[in-house]
Amino acid sequence: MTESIDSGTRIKPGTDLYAEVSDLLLREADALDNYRYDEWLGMLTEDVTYVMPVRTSQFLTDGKGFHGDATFFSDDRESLTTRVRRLETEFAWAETPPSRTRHFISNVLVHEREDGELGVRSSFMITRTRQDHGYQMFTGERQDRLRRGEDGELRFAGRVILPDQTVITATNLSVLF
Amino acid sequence: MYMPNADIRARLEATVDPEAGAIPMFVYTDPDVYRLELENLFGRTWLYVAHESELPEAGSFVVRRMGEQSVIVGRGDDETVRVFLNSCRHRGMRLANEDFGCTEMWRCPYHGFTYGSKGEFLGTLIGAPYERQAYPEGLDKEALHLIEARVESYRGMIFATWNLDGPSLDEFLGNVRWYLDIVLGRAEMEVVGVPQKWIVPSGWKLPSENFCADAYHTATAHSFLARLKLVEGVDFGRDGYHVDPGGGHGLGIGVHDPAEGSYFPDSLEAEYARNLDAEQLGLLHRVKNFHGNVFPNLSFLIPNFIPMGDQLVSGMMLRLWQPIGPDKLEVWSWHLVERDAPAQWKRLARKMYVQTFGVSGMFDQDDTENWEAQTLNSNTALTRPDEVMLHYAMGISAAPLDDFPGPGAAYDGKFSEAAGRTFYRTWLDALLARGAA
Repeated sequence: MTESIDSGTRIKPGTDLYAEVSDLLLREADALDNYRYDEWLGMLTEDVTYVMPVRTSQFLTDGKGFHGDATFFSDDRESLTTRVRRLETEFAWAETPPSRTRHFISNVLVHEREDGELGVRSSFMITRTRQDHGYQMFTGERQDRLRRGEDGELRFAGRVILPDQTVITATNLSVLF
Repeated sequence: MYMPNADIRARLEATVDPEAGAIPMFVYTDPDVYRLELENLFGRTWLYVAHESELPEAGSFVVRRMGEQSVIVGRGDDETVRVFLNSCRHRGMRLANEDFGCTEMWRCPYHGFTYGSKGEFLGTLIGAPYERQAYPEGLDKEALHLIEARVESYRGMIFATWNLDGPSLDEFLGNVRWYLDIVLGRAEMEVVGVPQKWIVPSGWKLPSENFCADAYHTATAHSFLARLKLVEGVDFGRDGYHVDPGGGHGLGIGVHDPAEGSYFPDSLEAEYARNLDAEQLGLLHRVKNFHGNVFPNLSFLIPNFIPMGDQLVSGMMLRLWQPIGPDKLEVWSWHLVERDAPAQWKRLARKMYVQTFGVSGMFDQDDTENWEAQTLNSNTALTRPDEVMLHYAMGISAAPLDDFPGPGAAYDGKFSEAAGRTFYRTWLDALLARGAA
């Protein structure tokens, strides 16, 4: 899963394109942390794919422990929209009242492929608190494909979320990554 | 501060009264109760450990749990499936530290004691390093055989128990087999990938009884479904049957109008007909959803069919509610599908399962929320001087149907807690060691 995202020409920090990608990642994190879900949906292409594979403990010689068949998320624009609309119903008990999240995004590597899409790899740390419960924390890697629309805006066309945990130490994944 | 129960058995006998529909709240998370559960229930009863499709070849193994104990479920080089305590006979180190794999032998990472796929200590030269120098008097190979559980399987489901001379798996499952035939025996099933695992701060009985005997919560806990028009009305949890098959197992079957025809793939109809009798097949054709629990902590679910695109689809699952403490559990959730289902069905079923169930699933998010808060309340009730009693009397005076085709007591409509009362009766008997667990 890590092969293709780094293919093409490396886009280095300090370039305009790298700054544009960074800005999109920051605006996305801000939208998610502040419940602006429609703005977030607007950052996704119509054909977006959103996948989080399950990780297992394996010897290094057997790979990184990801198995394509089993996933924590296997979503598209329609289902992500359903998730967002659910959060807005007041009957999404896992998020009523809502969690407080903070998305920390770092270690951003950008590559430009021949077809014009950008491969963006980043590390995430997401903290979540809810009611008076303690912190839940999620860490891992995101592999994003970005595509420029006819309006000139970059949008997320695909996201693969690679969690560090094999056993998720959270009651549920009602937050978005 | 938690005060230990002076006599937990006496307190259980005095307060747990399933036949009257009364269960005291402290049993959800009480540490002394939990201790009894590990010894007298999880240490004695049949426990689900794996599906045969997870062990495709000689040497395949998965690491699972029986109660809190780590076990290796492995297919030996003679193709027989065995279950061993994941613990070296030398110093108790874990032998398998990866989640699954395929191997001819297990070598302990601590001192190198080595065991074959049948659990046998492999003896001189290969068994223990420097064996002749370290153990000039020799090693008793028989005494070093891995600690082995008793194993039996039903319809591809592998169960194990530490109770070597208790009832057979067939006796233990009893009437629930007729229903498991429909859920897991209707066709050759395969587990899709590895299980999702996550931790919920909840006593293990709360989700078990929810899958066993609680169709009633769906209209409230999952009301977003109706709000978002994913189902036609909030009554999707009501129409059908509640079944108390006995033995602490329990299930509910949601049905639709037979005129609509089967919701399952047409191309599998011949396989279904081969594996089911006429009455089981007739029921399958009406299934809209199907939930249940095999005592004590294995749940199964065919979730309510919902439209994915223009097709009605459901993604079935098996669940283990693994206890990891009085008020904490690890959920293990497997998606299963008919091996010969059309590729498109398999794709949609997997998508439906992940989106609606599992740790990110829109149903599960709401359920875990309830179990977590109940657990917090149960913990705080442990210090109260009075006994907080909870209401388990739904359907207590209802008479079972006399024309239902399946065995056990079946009730018209899913709103009943009959099997939940039997769950707690079976649980109590096991804890107090009355009858066979």
